[in-house]
Amino acid sequence: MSEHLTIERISALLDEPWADTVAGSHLESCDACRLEFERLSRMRMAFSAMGPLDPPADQLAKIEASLDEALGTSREGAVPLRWNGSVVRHLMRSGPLQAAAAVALFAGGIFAGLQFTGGTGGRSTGDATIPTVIPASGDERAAYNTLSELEAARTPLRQAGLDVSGGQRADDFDPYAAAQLVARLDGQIRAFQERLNQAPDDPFASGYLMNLIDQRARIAEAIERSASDSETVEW
Amino acid sequence: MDERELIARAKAGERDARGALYELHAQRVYTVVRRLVGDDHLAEDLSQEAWVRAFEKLHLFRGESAFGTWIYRLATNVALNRLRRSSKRERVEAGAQLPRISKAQDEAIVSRRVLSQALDKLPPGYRRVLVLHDIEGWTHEEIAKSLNCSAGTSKSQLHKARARMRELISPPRADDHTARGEARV
Repeated sequence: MSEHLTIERISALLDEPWADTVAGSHLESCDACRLEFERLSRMRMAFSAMGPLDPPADQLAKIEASLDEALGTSREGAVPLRWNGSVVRHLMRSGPLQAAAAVALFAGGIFAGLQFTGGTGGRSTGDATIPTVIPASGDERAAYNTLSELEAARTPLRQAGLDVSGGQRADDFDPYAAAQLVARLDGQIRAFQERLNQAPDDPFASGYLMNLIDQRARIAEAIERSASDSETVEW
Repeated sequence: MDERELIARAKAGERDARGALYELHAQRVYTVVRRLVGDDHLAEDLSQEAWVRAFEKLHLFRGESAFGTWIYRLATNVALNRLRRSSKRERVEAGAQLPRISKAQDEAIVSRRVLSQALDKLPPGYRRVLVLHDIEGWTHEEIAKSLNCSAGTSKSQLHKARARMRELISPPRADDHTARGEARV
C-alpha cells in the first residue's frame, strides 16, 4: 500500500487498532500517516483535558422562578437561599483537588496507612500528590516515575520559565521543554486510558490518570498563553 | 448533609435542598448540554429546562442510580431531543475564523480554546457523537441506544467528526497529509 490512509480510517485505528491490520501495517511504514495518527491522538487527549463550564450565575434563580410558576406558588415571601453554594462549586470544579481527591479516595479505600503531603510520607508535584507506595505494575510504575520526574523537573523548568505547579510562564519560557514534558505525559495518559477501558473501576489507574491530565493541562495552558502572547502563525 | 437527605428534603419542597443539589451538579449538567448544542443561549435554556423537569419529577427519582447520573442523563436527553427537533442546518467552513496555532504547538498541544471553538463549528450530528464518545466517555452502544441508530453509525459519525475537527483546527497545507490525496486501501 503506497497511498495514504483516510483520516477516518486513522481515527478508527485510534479506537480499535486490532480491527484493521492492513491499515496498521501501513501506519508502521508511513511517516505521514503516523504523524496524522499522532495528531488525532493528541486531539483526543486534549478532549480529556477540557475543563468544565460554568452555568450562568442567575440560573438557579430562574429555575426557582419557573418552578414557582409551574407550581402556582408566589415568590412573595419566599424563603431566601441560605446554602453556601460557592464553596461547594469551587471544590467540585478544582481540577487539582479532584485529582488529589481521587488519589485520596484510592489511598483511603485500598491502602490504609498510605500517607500524603501534609502528613509524613507523601510528596507533591504542585497541587497533585504522589503516593509514597511505589506501585507494582508497569503502567503504575511508569506514571509514578513520570510524576516523580515532574517534581524533580520543577527546578530546571522554573529556570526555563515554567512553574509546573501553577502553570505560570515567565519571559524566558521554553515551549519546547514544556512540549517534551507534554509528550511524555501524553504517553502515560494514553496508557492509563487504555487500562481504564479494560478496568473502568480501577481506582489506582483513575487517580493517576486524573493527576497526569491535570499536570498536562497546566503545562498546556502555559504553552497556550505563550502562543497567545507571541501571536505565532505559521503553517 | 449527604445527598440522600438533600433529595428527601428537596422532594418535600425545601428550596435550600434544591439549591444545594443544583450547586453540586450544575456545572456538569451545563457543560454537557453546552458542548452538545454548541451555543451559549441554547445551553442556558436547555440546562434550565432540564433542572426544572428534574425538580418537578423528583418524586419519581427512586435512588436506583446516583442523583448526579440521573440529572446528567435527563439533561443529555433534553439536549439530544432538541438537536433532533432542530431543523437548523449549520454551514461549516473548514478552518473558518479559528485562531491558528503554530506547527510547533500543534505538535505539542491542541489548545482548549481552539478545541472549543472548533467543536461549536461542527455540524450537530457530528458534534453530539464526538462529545458523547470522546469527552463524556460513552460507548458506541450507549450512543446508539440514545440516538436510536446502530453502533456502526455512531462509529462512522465519530470518525468523520474527528476528521472535520482536524480540518477545523489545522487546515491542511499544500504538503500536508490530507492535501496529498488519500487512498481507499
